[in-house]
Amino acid sequence: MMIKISTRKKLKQVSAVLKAFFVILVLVILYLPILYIIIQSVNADGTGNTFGGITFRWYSELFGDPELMDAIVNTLSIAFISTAASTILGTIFAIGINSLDRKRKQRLIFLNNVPIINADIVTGVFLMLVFLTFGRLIGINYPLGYITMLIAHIFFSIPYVILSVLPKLNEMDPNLYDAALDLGSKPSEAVMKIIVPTIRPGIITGMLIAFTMSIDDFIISYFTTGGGVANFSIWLYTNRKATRFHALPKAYAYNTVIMVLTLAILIIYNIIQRRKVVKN
Amino acid sequence: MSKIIELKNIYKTFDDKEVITDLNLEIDENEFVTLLGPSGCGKTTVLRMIGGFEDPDSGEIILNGETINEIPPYYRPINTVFQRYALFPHLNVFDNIAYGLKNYNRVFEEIRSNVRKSYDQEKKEIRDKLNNKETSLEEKKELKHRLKEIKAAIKEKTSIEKEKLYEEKLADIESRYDKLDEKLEAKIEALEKDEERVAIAEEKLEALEEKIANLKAEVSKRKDKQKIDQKYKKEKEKLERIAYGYDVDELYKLRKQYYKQRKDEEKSAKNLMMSPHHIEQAVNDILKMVNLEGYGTRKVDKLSGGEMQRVAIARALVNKPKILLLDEPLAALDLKLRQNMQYELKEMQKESKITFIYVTHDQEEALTMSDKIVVFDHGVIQQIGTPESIYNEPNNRFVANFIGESNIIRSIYKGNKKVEIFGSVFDCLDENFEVDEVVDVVIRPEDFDIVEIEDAKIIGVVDSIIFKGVFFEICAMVQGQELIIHKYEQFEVGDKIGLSVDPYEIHIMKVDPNEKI
Amino acid sequence: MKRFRMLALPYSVWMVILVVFPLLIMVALAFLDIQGLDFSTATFTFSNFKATFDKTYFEVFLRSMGYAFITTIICIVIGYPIAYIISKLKPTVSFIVLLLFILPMWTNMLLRIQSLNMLLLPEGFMKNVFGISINLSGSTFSVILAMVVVYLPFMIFPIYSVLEKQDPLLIEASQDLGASEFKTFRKVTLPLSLKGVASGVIMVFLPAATSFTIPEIMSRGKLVLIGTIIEQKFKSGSNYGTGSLMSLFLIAFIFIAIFISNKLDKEGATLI
Repeated sequence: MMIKISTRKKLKQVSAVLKAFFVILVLVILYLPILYIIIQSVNADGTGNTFGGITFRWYSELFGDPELMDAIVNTLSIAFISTAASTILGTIFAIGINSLDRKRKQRLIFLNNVPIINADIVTGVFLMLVFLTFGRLIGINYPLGYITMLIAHIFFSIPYVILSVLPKLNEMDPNLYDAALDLGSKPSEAVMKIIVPTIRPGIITGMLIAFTMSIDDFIISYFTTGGGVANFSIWLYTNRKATRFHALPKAYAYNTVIMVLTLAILIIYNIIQRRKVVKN
Repeated sequence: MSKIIELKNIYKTFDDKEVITDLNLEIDENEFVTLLGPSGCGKTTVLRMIGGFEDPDSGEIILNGETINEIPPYYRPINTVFQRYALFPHLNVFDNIAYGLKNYNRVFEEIRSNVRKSYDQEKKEIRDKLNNKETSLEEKKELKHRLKEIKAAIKEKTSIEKEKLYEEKLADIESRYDKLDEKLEAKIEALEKDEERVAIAEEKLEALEEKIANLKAEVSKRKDKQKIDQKYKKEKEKLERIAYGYDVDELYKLRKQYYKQRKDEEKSAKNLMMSPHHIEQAVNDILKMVNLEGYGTRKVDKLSGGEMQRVAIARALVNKPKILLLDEPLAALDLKLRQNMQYELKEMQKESKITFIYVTHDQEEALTMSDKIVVFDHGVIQQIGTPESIYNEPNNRFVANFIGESNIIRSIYKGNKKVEIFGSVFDCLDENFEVDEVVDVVIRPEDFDIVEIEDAKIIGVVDSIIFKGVFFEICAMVQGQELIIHKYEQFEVGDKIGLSVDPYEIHIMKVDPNEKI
Repeated sequence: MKRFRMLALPYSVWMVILVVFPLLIMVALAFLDIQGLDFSTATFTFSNFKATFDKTYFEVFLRSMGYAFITTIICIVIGYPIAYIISKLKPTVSFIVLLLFILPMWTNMLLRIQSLNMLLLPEGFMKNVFGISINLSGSTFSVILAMVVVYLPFMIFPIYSVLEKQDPLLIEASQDLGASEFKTFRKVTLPLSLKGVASGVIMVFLPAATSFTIPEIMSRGKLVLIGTIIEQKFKSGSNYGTGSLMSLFLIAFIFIAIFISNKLDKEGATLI
């Protein structure tokens, strides 16, 4: 018996080490490209072929490249606007969908999931066709541009918001809205003061997903933009063969900045949450 | 007692099914009324219509003489306790209860409805004339113009009344606080003038401290020293207060507080709202009433079922509505808790003098709490009456079956207060039936008497017997029909028993030709 | 709450315009020989069908399926154990580890792929700095590696989510009835987690099969998959007819796959 316990313990220790090793190995492979990005963003050798010492000039040159800056501004502006729009619209639509009878609800939810399920490229083609056709009908020959890209982003973000908000609406006591009315709130007040705070976690999750989807999107933007309007991903794709020239380090710099910012926000958020818990 | 709410000719259809058919109901002030019936009978729909969450397809809902069909729930002086409580999860107990008080535009709505009432008659006449085909187009134009004028007049009058009320409130605030301020200033002046008193207090304090030190020096144990401190603690504190000027400080603080309160009240009065400290007081009072004192800061999701229940009731009652609607509020509680709450609810109703309209499918609950019970089936009222009258004199088979246990026996009325049951003739008290009319006789299980078989008019064979804690539930077969009898005596399965029943315990009902059995 | 029904109406209209309408256009285009969207000069034809069922395209289709299949298998083989390990960790630790797996997703995907590509160059960073000479750029390996790197988290999360929700009492019950730890896993945990695996498969297989950017960048334009062809048809050329038909088949394929997986899992909200 004694021997068995100690071997069991040993086995557990060994397996724990193996498990940790495995997970770390996979993480390393996943993070290799990211490490590469960070290192290259400070690499004095712009071609990236050798390590030429640390420099931050790419970060400043970033602002001097008008094409890249345009792309970055487009990416960020579209991300913020489409996230705001899709979060608000998505929440409103989710509230509407939630109050439908079962059959109509199912139909609309099915329709809602189509953009999510569909391959990116098909969604991109779909939107392109719609924009081109409408353009022809109205008489605009080259409708694709910033606006169509924005509409496209809003289009594919709303379903994610709805998908995050609906379950929260489901969980909510169905009488909450009536209770607010009963106590003297007008309908709009009841929605803002009672329904929205109750489903807030869903709204926030949806918002974060929408933002992530938008800021990283390539293929749908690729199909729905025109007239030279590019976002960061498109800029990257168009310049992908330009590795021999000094194009990429700036991109790495930008990306590193974004990563660091995101990490910082996460950490700060966590600290604030911890402080709140301690207060209570 | 006067009518507080009346439902006239109400019809309601859901998805092609008529749920409420020609409903007419009157409820008096200060009554505990229960709407009772099985699931799907429409009782909750009626409740929701009174609350304003459903609109009737046709018919009128009249509150204190005014038709309120068009008025949305947030303007009705009615509050609801919802099934499963519907407490706001992101607010704590205090904020939940205070929610309605912060929406105090009820007062405004009351003013408006009073102004409206004064024009109700004229508006009705105009509407009738407009619907009348014989009125000329010119006249109709004039009448429509008049309606617009009335609308504007109502608006104007309402704001005038609102201003009046505001002025009144301001005057009230002024007089109240002026009085308080006067008293307070007098006190402060008195204290400040009396310079000697501080000096005297300081002297006394010194002396006391010396005394205490001396006493402490005489004893060695720490416990004893502490006892001495304890003994003179109050006195010392009293002297310290005066000597160090704490009492004056307190008065200054109070003055500041009054000032702030007054400003708050003036601000709230502008919107005809309650000031924050009035709200706080109201919430604390109601928490006391529902036995949840001190629960204000608790989070709603940390409460037990019974506690949530009480918060829901407090949240509704604190607004002092004219009517409180309760939608099966006790359904989710366990038995003992439910019974306690039933008693408490009844007490609350008596104390608050608010009309309670209660919906349930539990007939015991209805019998326990109600002044009046309205029995529903499929959207039609079957019977209205006190618990006793419904229990003892059900109108039809449905009510008899729904309320309490009952035995319903097809019998024949023989005229002259005699009825033939199971072939034997019994005396009874009813007489509104035709001779040889087929009737249904209702006898409650506890009303049967067990007699000797030789003297018995009804003889049965015991089919089963179950001990129910207080009595035995005996099922006996009599001429092919099963009767349920509640008695304290025990019998064996297969025993022959003799049954008898007194005349006042025989209740006769008409047989409904359309009845589904 | 019934008053809110109106709110859903604009959404229905919006979705019809942006989902149903283009679908109809595609169906129309599939039967037309058309230049761009010039409907006035279009002619009805079945030639698109002929083109689609051409042998080369069929090869491309199979190839895409093959890549996707391999990627999915690798993701399951690596992802399942990882999800399992994470699910057994303490909540704070598991949260951090999960976060570590999510973070890469916040880096621009193209940039990540491009970096991966650079790392595999023979004359690049790896050689000059570390002296390691790899010549894997442009190979099948590089494409699959990229796919796995990008899609692995999408396999891990659904599996983790299902494993984490599993009732620990089930495991106790199984052991109480005599099954060893391994057997318990095989007979209790594994079957119940298949729902998560199915979810993960959908989130990996379909995007991998229809991917366009990954093969394009990793193989430097040499590898041709379905995504590549559709891009050609719609962006580089104007042959909307064949492109539409192919897309329609792709859509049909996707929906059949979803339908089958839904039959295995009634809930449907396992995406998030």
